[in-house]
Amino acid sequence: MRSLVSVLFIMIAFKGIAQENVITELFREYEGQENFTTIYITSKMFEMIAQIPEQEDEEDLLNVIRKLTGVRVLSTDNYEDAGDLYQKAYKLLPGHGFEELMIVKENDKETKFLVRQNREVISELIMLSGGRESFSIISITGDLRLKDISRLSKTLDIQGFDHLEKVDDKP
Amino acid sequence: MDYEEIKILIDKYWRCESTLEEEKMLRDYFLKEHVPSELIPYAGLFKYYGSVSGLETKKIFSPHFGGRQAEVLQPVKTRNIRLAWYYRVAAAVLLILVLFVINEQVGKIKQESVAIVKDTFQDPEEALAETKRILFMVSHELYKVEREASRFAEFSKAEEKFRKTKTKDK
Repeated sequence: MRSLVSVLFIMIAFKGIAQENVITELFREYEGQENFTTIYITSKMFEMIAQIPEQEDEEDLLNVIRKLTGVRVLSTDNYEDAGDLYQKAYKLLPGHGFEELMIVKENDKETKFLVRQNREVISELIMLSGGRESFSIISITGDLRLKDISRLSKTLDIQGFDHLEKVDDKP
Repeated sequence: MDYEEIKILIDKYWRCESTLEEEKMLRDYFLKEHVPSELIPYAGLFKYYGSVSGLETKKIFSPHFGGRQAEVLQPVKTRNIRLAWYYRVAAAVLLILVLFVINEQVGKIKQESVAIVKDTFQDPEEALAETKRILFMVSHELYKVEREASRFAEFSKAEEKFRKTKTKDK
């Protein structure tokens, strides 16, 4: 009985580490490789961001940003095995506490949203997308509300910035 | 013997303080004498004791009791549940070792993840701008899904309506 309890305890301890590690590992594997870009914004940086004097009419945006604890991006636009990488990343995640939220398919591009939930609160949102030669994984951690995030773009949509992403894709 | 005396003896009996002699007195009393109505509930018990007291066991239990051969009892080998002291020490040492290794590993992993997560930006303004960009990108995708979903909801509503009118027509 006692040994069972200790084994369970150890398993739980390792599970926590494994969850933290799956994305870190993926990043580490491809970081620094040719054509891959990584972006890290840590909780420390978010503390500093919080100290930047607020600007008006960005209330919605800052409300979201204030609750973030980390942003990580790994992306490439020119990688032959992008499809495989996408599949690999996708297979890796659900086993580590992530649940699939939705899929968007557009031409040859597929985007998946996965979340890790802590009861009602979403603690991590992952946007995974892969195309023929492009791949990107965006991980956002913090106290997240999907409605708040999607609302940001609604205001943009009204302002006519529907093609923001496509604009951004061009260097 | 009068009623009061017997009452005292019975009380003593229930407190388990009576001597064998006193118990014999009780048995005899209930066997022979006329029992007052208050004591009738106890009469059965002591009468029974009285009737059984005559029985005696045979002086020696025969080894062939009941015609069976006496079984020669062999000591059964049992596993000693109380582990030898050195097993306990070994288990304790092992446990400490395992905890130590786990602690080491956790520390290493934490260090590595701290080491690997280096801020891309040193300037908070830049980081903020990048965060905004990323958030808008995610938000845009999310919004797209939401819009499609609401469109789909409209579509299924319409379909339902269509079906209803169709069934009405029939």
